[in-house]
Formats: sequence, structure tokens, C-alpha cells
Amino acid sequence: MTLKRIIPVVFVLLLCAISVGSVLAASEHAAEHVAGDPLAYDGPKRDLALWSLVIFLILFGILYKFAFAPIAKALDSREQGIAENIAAAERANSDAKELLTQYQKKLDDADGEVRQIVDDAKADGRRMADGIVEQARKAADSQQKRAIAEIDAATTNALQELAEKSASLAAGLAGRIIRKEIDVNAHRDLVNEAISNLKN
Amino acid sequence: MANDPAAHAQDATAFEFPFGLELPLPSMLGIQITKFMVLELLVAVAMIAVFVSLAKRIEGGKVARGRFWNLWEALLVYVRNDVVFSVMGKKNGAIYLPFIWMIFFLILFCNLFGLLPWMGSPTGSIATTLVLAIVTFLVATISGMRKFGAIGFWLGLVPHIDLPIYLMVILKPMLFVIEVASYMIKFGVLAIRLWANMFGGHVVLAVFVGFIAAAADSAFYVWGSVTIISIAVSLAISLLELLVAFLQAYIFAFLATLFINMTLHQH
Repeated sequence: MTLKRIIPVVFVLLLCAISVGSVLAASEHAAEHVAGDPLAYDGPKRDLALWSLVIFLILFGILYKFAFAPIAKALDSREQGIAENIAAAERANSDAKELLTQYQKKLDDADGEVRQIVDDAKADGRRMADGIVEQARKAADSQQKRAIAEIDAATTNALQELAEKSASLAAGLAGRIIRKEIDVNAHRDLVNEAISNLKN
Repeated sequence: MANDPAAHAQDATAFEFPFGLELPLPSMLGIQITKFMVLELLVAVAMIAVFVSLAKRIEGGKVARGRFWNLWEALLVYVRNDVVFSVMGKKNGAIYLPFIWMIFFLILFCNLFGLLPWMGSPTGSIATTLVLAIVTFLVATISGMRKFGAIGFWLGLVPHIDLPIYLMVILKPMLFVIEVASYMIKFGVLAIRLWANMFGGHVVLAVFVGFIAAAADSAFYVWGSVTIISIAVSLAISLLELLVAFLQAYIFAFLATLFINMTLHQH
């Protein structure tokens, strides 16, 4: 054994010896004046001191092994468990928040999309309606134009027919007038006849 | 009841019960068994019952159920976090925690036994408290010597001062003596503080209860009023004693932690 290892051992032994010695000395000379009660024990306290030391050491040994060390371990592991739980909860919380923002974003996107779709649909509808109205107007226009043209044509035909008829009537009338040198009454009758013919 | 109130708070060779019943304690192998020796044994049994059972209940970080177990766990956690870890830090604290727990709960149980009827506080004897102080002294000193060396620790008690060599030669040995003495006295005071508090409290209680016996031969109305007042005052002092029981256990444990921590961090 080296000197370095002997010195502490000697010191500790010396300390223990001094300690025990001082207890013994103190207890031997403990106050002996209190003895009013015959049962009060004021004899050497050395025995109680040694008994206390023995109890302390044995009790500490037992409690250290079966109570304090396991309790310290249990408290540590509980503390660690709580810390882990808190960390896990924080992680879960941040995950949830992230998920929430993702969903919020998706929801916002979907909202925008829906609005776009509705807007598009509205625009389509409006365009379609405009187209239909335009088409209808065009159709109406062309129909009107056709009707006008037909009316014009019919008018022209009628006029032509009238002209032809009146020409032929006039020619016939003229022929008859020329052929028959008749009186005024006959003349009037002829004209009336021609007019009624024309009316028919 | 003895005439001398101090006798009540002292160690005895018998347990006294009401109606004059006595349980005398034997003498074994030339050693007189005393009341405090028996009480210390009861304290040891009670502590084993409580803490070994609690250790099983919270094994592996489980949570203790019920008020009784939570009470002890709250105290354990308080000493651990607010006494040991807050002074020493977690690394050193973990080493000394079982010792401080032991000191705290042994003193607490001894103190509380004094509040049970017909029992007494072993901490009301200087012999018990001196042993606790000496054990604390040994733990602190050996810890310091392990850290700074057997001789280095003692020399380290003297603070470093820059002085001319001729003054140093005179002053250093004087300082050494003073520092070593103050180091020893600190632990001595631990023992005296605890003993004086417990012994004093029990003496005060005995004085007030003793008034009843002193007035026993007086007229009925004198005895009656003395009795009522004495019981009221003893009740109040018993409540104070309950506080002192916890307080002194805390003070001893806290100072022990501080002293051990000081030996680990010298000037």
C-alpha cells in the first residue's frame, strides 16, 4: 500500500475514534443533577449513543437497499417519463398544428377552386345566354328580312299582275269601245263592267 | 407525574401509562434498556414499514395512490428537489440524497413519536442528536477528504490570503486553528439545536400539564380553572411542537446538505 492510500485510511480511523471518544466522554459526564423522578434515566448516555449509532447504521443499510435507492430511481424514471411525455405531447402538438395549417391551406385552395368553378360556370352561362339571345335575334332578324322580302315580292307580283290585268282590260275595253260605237250609257256600262271585272 | 418537568422529557427506564401502569424495561448484559432505545427501534420499524412499502408502490415511476403514501412521497420529493438538488445540483445531489433522506426522516419520526401519548422523542436526548451530528460530520469530512486529499482538505479550510511571508507564518497557523474549530463547532451546533428544541418543547408541555398536579390540593374552582387553562395551553403548544418537529428535521437536513456541499467546494 502506498503512503497516499494509507493517509486517508488513518485519517478516517482517527476521525471515527475522536468522534466516538467525544460521545463517550460527553455522555459519561452528562448532567446528573436531574433526578426528581426515580424512573427518569440519567445514567450514562453512552449506551443510548452507541445504540443510536447502531440503529442509524443498520436502518440506513436496510432503507438504502430497499427504500431510498429504489425510490430515488423511481422518482428519476418518473421524472424522465414525464419529460418524455411532455416532449411527445409537444411533438404531437406541433405535428397537429402543421397538419392543421396543411388542411387549412387545402381548404383555402378548395374554396378558391370552388369559387373559380362557380365564376367560370357563371361566365359560361352568361356567355351561353348571350349567344342564345344573339342567335335568337339573328334568327328573328333574318325571318323578318325574309318576310319583308316575301311581302315585297308579293307586292311586286301583285302590281305586275295588276298592271298586266289592267293593261289587258284596258286593251279589251279599248277594243270593245272601238268596235262598238255606243252611247254614253253603253259606255258607262262598259266601264262599270270593266271595274267590276277588275274588282273580281 | 414527576415534580421535575425536565424528567418528563428525559430518557427513562420504564414506559408510564395512565392509572399508574408501568412497563419497566430490563437490563441486558449489563446495559440498561431505556425508553429511548425502544422508541428508536419503533422508529426504525415504522420507517422500514413506510418507505420499503412506498418504494414498491412507486417502482418504475408508477404513481402512488392514496393520501398516506402521497404524504410521504411529497416529503421525499420536497427534500430531494428543494433541499438536496437545489443546493448541490443533480449530479452531486444524487450521491448524497439517500443520506439526507435518512437524516430528515429519522429526525422527523423521532420528533413525531414525542407527540404520541406515553411515548417520547429520542431526539430529546443529546446522545441521539450528537450521534446524528457526528455521522453528518464524518460524511462531510470524508467527502471533502476524498475530493481534496486527506491533508489538502484540512489545509483548504484556511482561506487563501496574499500576505508577506513573515505575517503568513504567524497568521496561517492561527487561522488554521480557528477554521478547524469553527468547522467542528458547526456540526456540534447541529446536535445542540435539535436537542434543545425537542427537549425544551417537552419541558414546556410538562410544566403546563404539571400545573394541574400542583393545583390538585387547592379548592375545586381553582383546580378546575387551572386544569382548563393548562389543557388549552398544552394543546396550543402541542400544535406548535408539531410544527417544530417538521421544522427541526428540515433545518438539520438542510444544514447537513449545506455543510456537505461546502466541503465539496472549498475556497
